[in-house]
Amino acid sequence: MNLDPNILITSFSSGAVLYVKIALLILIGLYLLFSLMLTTKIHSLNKTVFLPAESGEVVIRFFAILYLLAVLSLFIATIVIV
Amino acid sequence: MPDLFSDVQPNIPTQQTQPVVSTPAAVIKKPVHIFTTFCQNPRNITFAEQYDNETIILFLRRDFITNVPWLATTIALAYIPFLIRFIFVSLNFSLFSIPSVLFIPLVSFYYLIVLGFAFANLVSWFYNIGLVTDRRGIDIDFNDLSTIDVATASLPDIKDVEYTQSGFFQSLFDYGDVRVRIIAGGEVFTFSKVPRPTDVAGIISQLIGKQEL
Repeated sequence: MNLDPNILITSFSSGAVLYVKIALLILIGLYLLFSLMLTTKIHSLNKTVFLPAESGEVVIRFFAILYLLAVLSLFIATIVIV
Repeated sequence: MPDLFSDVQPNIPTQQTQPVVSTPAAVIKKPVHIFTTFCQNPRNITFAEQYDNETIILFLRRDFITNVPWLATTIALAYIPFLIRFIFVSLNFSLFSIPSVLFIPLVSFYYLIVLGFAFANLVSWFYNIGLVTDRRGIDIDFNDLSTIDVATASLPDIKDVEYTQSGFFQSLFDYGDVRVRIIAGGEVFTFSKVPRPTDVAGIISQLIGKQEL
């Protein structure tokens, strides 16, 4: 019996796209919580140790906010675009 | 006949004792940069609940070489989608075709996870700080993202300082664990994987010695 490898190719129906979208939104939502937690932890660590700006503390804080915004943007983009 | 005992005290020069604490004028403060892992007399660093006249003598982080495993993992994870695509294309085989409308969010999400993994590790390294002041030792641990552990030991309570350098890499890159044993309960307070453990142990020992004088 010859098996065509392309037999495994499945096309996404509009219903399947919706299911994947919901699953993706749940995952990104959970990840948004993780990135929010990371940002708040950095904030609380900065209250424990006060590092000078030259030590890169500002860069870390800025990147944490940027990262949170990136995840939030992806969450919104998934709702709007998909 | 020579006098064995005499009232007259010979003029013996008195021995000059070293000052217990070095004068502030003699201390040169050094800046702490983003990749600083060992800094004696750091500049512009303070911490919560620091006393007014408390001076930070030593600033420590894990040696930078300890970041290599997660850096390598991040690079590998970043290349995995390309590798999977290359394998599938070269075998002329695909499990399913993903619509482009889903493909972009999926790939973006994957790379955000990879970036998040790298960033979380960087933050964990950046905020795992050990401080030694003229009064105490402070160890700030931020191991997993949900726990911040701040341990403090005052210098009079410190009983013993020891360091270990085990393995090839620790010896090659000169880093190791410095363990501070505290009198109460024999608890151990560890500055883990810090650079120049010999110097760190020496500095803490000196400070304990000054406290005992």
